[in-house]
Amino acid sequence: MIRDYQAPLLAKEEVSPGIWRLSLECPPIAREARPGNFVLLKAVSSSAPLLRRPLGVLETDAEKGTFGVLFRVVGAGTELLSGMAPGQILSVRGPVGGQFGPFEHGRVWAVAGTLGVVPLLFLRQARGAFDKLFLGVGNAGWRPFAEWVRARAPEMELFSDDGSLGKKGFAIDGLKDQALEDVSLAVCGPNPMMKALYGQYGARCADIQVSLERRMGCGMGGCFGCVVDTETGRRRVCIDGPVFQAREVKWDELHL
Amino acid sequence: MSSISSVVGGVDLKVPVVIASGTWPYEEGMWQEDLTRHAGAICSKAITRRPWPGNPGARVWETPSGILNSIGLQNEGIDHFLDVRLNQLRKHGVPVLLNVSMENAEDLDYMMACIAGRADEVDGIELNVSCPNTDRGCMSWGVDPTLTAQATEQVRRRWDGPLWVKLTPQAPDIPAVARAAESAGASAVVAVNTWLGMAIDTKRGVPVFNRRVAGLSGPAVFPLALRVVWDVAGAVKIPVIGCGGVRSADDALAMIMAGASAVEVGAALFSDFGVLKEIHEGLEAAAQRWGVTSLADLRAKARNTSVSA
Repeated sequence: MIRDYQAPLLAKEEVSPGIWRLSLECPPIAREARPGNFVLLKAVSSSAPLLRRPLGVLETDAEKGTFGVLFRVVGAGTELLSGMAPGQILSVRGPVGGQFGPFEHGRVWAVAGTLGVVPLLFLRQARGAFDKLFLGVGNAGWRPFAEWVRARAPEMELFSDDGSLGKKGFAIDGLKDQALEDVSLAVCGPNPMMKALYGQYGARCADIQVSLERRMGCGMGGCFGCVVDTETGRRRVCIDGPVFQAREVKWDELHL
Repeated sequence: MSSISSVVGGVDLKVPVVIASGTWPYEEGMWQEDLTRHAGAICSKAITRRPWPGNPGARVWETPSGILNSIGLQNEGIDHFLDVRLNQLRKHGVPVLLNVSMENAEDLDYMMACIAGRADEVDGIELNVSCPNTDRGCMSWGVDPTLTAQATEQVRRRWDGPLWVKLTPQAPDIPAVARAAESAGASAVVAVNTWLGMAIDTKRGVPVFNRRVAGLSGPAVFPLALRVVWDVAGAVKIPVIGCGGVRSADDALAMIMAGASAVEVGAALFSDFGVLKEIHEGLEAAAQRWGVTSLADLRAKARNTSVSA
């Protein structure tokens, strides 16, 4: 059930320049969140900024009543979040949305573009290691982030746009020449990456679950600000998603 | 504790705080008592004659202390609303006003004929002549007193229950539109819907929204809405529901002192569900602080005591 909670910040860690992991104490989120769910955080009670920032849940510890998020500083809202000190209180809305799974096949591969790995790592926490995990990043500047992911998911295969880390290419290149007929894919990354993945591999893989990202207003299904075009009409990413079967999404209508 | 309840425009409000149209989902989980007991009523999402997909492209954009939206009335249409949604909503004990939105007179008559058949189950109508996010209908009625009166009269031919008319700040003469709604039989007016604005994506060098324009709401518009409430309350005898940027008990009190009988809250809920409780309890405290037996005693207080200009 989606509610607003006051949650103390327990710890923060800059895993890579501009990329922060926050650990928060919030037993209801720790108990209820499932892989694919997200929360909306607000650092301040003032109206600047007015809106909450939607962030995928990275991990939970139901016993300790804690959960974690990981985000990159991209604007004023995330800047404020990254500046919070342990002990300070954040407002958490959640848990929001549907989840990854069930999967059609026992073998599940994960495909992530940069911070799209966040909900996939939460899925990994629930399921154990992936049969394969492909991560795509930009250039050597992403090294600390990539190493942080590898420490949590040693099965990770790395791709970078310029070849400075891992193989040269995109995360979806990991699927090239692979037999995908008996594999389920869990995918999260920039929309163009997911669109390209479905375009290239949609015909060979029947179960591609993608987690979509859109600008959001309310984050609880009220405003219809975050809709995407699907085979069953315009649906809300927040509570009808964020995880959709790739074949349901009208990718040509999906603007960025 | 009953000092803040009242009947406003025919609707029995336990708390003079109404959830604004288009800001709250129909999903069960958001209708639990812990949240909704602090709301006196709720306005449904806009309902149109036929299922309507709303606007393509970007729909929301954050602005300083505000939000631009170009949702464009996405909804399942009146038949589905009455078949499915109305029964869902009625279970929760919160009065529900149906936000009725139309392209033309024929649509309005069709919808009101359908609603009239379920009159016993409907707590009120909020006539939407003010949504700025459609190419036809809606705001094009509400900018004009004559058209607003026509639409209001048309509802009245099918409906003798509570009828709130939601005004647009784009009207050149908002008090004149409010008077026209009053003369045509409105029980109350809601002042006001969103302000037309726009945003440009400077990274791509294009307008953010496909329709270019969008409606601005949130705390940024509160002083603008307060001024409209003041003007409209001075122009009509029917109750005024203040709407626009309310996010605290103090904002609600200011609206009431300007002449409003209740307030609607929308964008503030995107930020914080707790705003309903805060306003509810804050208004009770204000009534005590001012030593009045009813919040109505504070209505238009600022009007009655201010030095005339």
